Amino acid sequence: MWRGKYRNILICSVCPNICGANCPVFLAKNTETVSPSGKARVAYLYLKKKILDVTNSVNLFYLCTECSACQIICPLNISLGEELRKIKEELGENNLVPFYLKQVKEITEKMNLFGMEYSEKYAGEKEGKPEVLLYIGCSASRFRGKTVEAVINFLRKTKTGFMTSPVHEKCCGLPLLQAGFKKEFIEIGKVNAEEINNLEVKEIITLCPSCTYTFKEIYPKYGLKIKKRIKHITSFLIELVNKGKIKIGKYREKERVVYHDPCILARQLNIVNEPRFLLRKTGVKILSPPHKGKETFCCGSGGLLRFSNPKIAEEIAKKRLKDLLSTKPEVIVSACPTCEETLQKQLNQIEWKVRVQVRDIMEHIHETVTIGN
Amino acid sequence: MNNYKEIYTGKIKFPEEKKRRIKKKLVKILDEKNFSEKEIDLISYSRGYWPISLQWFLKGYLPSLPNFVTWPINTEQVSEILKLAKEEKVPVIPYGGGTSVTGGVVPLKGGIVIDLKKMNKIIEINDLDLTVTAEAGINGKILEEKLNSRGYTSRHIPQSLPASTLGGWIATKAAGQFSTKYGKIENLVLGLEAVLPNGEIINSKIKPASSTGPEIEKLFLGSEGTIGVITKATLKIWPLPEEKKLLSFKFKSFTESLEAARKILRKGIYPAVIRLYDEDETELKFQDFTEDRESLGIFIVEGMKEITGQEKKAIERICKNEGAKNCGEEPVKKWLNERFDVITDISQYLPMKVVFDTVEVAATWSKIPTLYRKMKKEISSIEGVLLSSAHASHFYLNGACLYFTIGGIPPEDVKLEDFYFNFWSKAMKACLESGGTISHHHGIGLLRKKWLKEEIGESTYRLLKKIKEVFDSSEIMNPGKLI
Ligand SMILES: Cc1cc2nc3c(=O)[nH]c(=O)nc-3n(C[C@H](O)[C@H](O)[C@H](O)COP(=O)(O)OP(=O)(O)OC[C@H]3O[C@@H](n4cnc5c(N)ncnc54)[C@H](O)[C@@H]3O)c2cc1C
Repeated sequence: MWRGKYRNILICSVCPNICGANCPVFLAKNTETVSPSGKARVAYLYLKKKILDVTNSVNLFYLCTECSACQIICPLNISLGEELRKIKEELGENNLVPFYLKQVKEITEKMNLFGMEYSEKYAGEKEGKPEVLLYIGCSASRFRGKTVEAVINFLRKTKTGFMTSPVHEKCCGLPLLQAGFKKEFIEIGKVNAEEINNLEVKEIITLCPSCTYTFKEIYPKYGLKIKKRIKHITSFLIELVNKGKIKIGKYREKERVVYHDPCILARQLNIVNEPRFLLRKTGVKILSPPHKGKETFCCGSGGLLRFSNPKIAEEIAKKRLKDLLSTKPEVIVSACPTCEETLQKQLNQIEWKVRVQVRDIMEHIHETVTIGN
Repeated sequence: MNNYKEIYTGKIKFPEEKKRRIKKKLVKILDEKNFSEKEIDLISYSRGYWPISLQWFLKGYLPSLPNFVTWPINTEQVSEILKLAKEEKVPVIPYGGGTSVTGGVVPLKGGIVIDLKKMNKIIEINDLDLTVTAEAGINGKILEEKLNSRGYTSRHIPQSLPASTLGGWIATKAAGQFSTKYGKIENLVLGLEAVLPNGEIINSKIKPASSTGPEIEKLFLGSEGTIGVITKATLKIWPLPEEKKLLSFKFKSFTESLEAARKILRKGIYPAVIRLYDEDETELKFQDFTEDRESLGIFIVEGMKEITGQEKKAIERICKNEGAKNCGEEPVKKWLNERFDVITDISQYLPMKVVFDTVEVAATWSKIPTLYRKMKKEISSIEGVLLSSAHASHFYLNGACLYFTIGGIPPEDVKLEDFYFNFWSKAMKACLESGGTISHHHGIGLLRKKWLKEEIGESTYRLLKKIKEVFDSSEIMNPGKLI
């Protein structure tokens, strides 16, 4: 196994859990078994066919938010989530993906993780001669109407020629891959690549960091190629500011804002300073939570944890919200619709105590933007 | 270890009826979610970090499995579990982070694992007294981060900090990387709470010092889970140091670097960190900074600005007098960057089927040179040993700890286990003959049990056994370890 594709699982299985205290699932459950090295130990024995209890082993592999907090501290730069995905692909091929992830497979028919209606919800929007495809993503269309409206308003206001998917927007496919449905992922990826490549736009902007990451980094690994520039909305915004096309006014002076770094945005896309730069321009006071930048902490909805184990996902969300609230903010800003939905949901449960808003960075900024210098 | 096969006991089978009964009672105490007999959990609690067990694990051999794993959330639950275990005469294995390198958490005779990790709250940080009180299962890194965020540090930073726990440190008499200035865990604990095998809870006063007869709670230091379960402890803390100074020197030999350290301490200077590497380890780790067969030494002094500057000057002078050359801050930065990384080396050794371990011993100054020479000679004389390097990183006015890293490939006709236990035997024998103590901070566990009698003497050994009996007449606590 030292030379094969499971080499890193093997290494993690003999590691003394150097990354344990970084892992949100471990910190929520506090058992040796769910720790990163614990999962790798079970995975190693499972691959060696030394374990009888296959069901519980498989369930264990899905107790991962794929947030790569382990990778940040790993001297060998291993992300256990990525390694476990290889096992999941085999589970998919052998029809062994747990039943509770069936919903994910339905993406192939319903196009959106949350159902067909959301794939149509914002389809067919268009302004001017579209240079940009606004790719909304499953979570934003299902949960973050306010964010989507803010972005569309913003694009209109800045006279950006843009379009959304003409009839249906199809999920980028990441959840399929995370569940182990590699074949289905490649199928949807092919359709996405073909449809997008046929559009006359020059670039795609996504609201969800995962979509950018999937199109840009994961598609090529599976032989899928999108021949457009792919950007998360924060990068797009920064470019407009840098080119002098827009100006952000200090309309939110003195507001106490804590920024939650989405895992994939910070760790995989290296976007850490940009959102803070944009926030600063709105005049707010940026607070510093425990775990920030690349050392951020998952909101609990990473990977497919909210489907595989909603209880642990909620524990993690609670912990993250507590971290953020410890800075006594008026507003929590993030740049990922899934994080925002998760934190909002958690906040709603304690709303009687705190009055804190959750905003996407686009909601925060769009009203403060003026055009040109 | 007389017979390592003893470890392959597999899962101990209780009669079904007994098993059902125990399970029912445990679930009642703990609730379904903090109890398990799932195979994946039993496997996870079968090994710890004993290096030889890594080799077994890779072959797919599992050392003995426990029958049940429990995660109590408070002291009362621990007490109830122990009462039940005593009643049913079932072994109990206290479990912290499972980083024991001596087989300390291997459930040799099956039984109930009590994992303390869900008891992880910080109860109080007291600024006036400079203490922190926390539950025993708190993770080291989390504890240190919480303290740092409030402007303090426990200054107990073992290499296993990211994975080990407060209770585990106390139970093994652990040492951190800053021990030269701040002491080992036994110098840092001011009080603790523990549950005795009969379920009774004992609590000691938090005190800077006292003269009230022998302190019973101190028996828990180094007890390795054999007399009860530590559930809470109070440690000293310090305000984060104002300033740090990083220094390093290369010496002509390890002996000369040790001499320099001895003279520094003799002057009453206690750097937070002193790490001296013998010629072999210098070559392995600091090749870029040294020439052939030199010995590198790194030092960190910390504290108030007015003092660190003076200490730095004194250390420079003493090292120069020993003929050392200044190597600047870079080697120290390299160590600071890599100080928690063990997996890089391990991932290189294991596929080559290298058997490895670390042996940490200690002695007073007068015995150090012989101890070093003798152990090194004995270990490297074994056929198949490829590496026997050493460093010293815990210093005292009166002596130091020597930490050997041993690695090798058994010759074709020698079994892995025979090779491994042979280098341990040679190392322990050489240590005892040189007047050293056989463990400075990893403890006895399963691994060093064989030499404990010789270490402490027959009468003391008998007495220790009796003390254990007083606490644990039913012999349920971590059987097969320490004594
Ligand atoms: C990579 C690595 C680096 C290390 N570096 C150091 C180092 O720098 N310094 C050092 O001293 N050691 C070091 N060790 C050894 C190990 O980390 C220590 O022995 C540590 O103190 C064990 O803590 P733990 O929480 O992991 O305990 P465990 O491994 O879980 O248990 C160790 C022993 O203590 C008992 N125990 C645990 N918790 C309790 C409790 N609450 N009550 C009663 N008994 C209990 C167990 O039964 C067992 O016998 C290292 C180990 C590794 C793997």
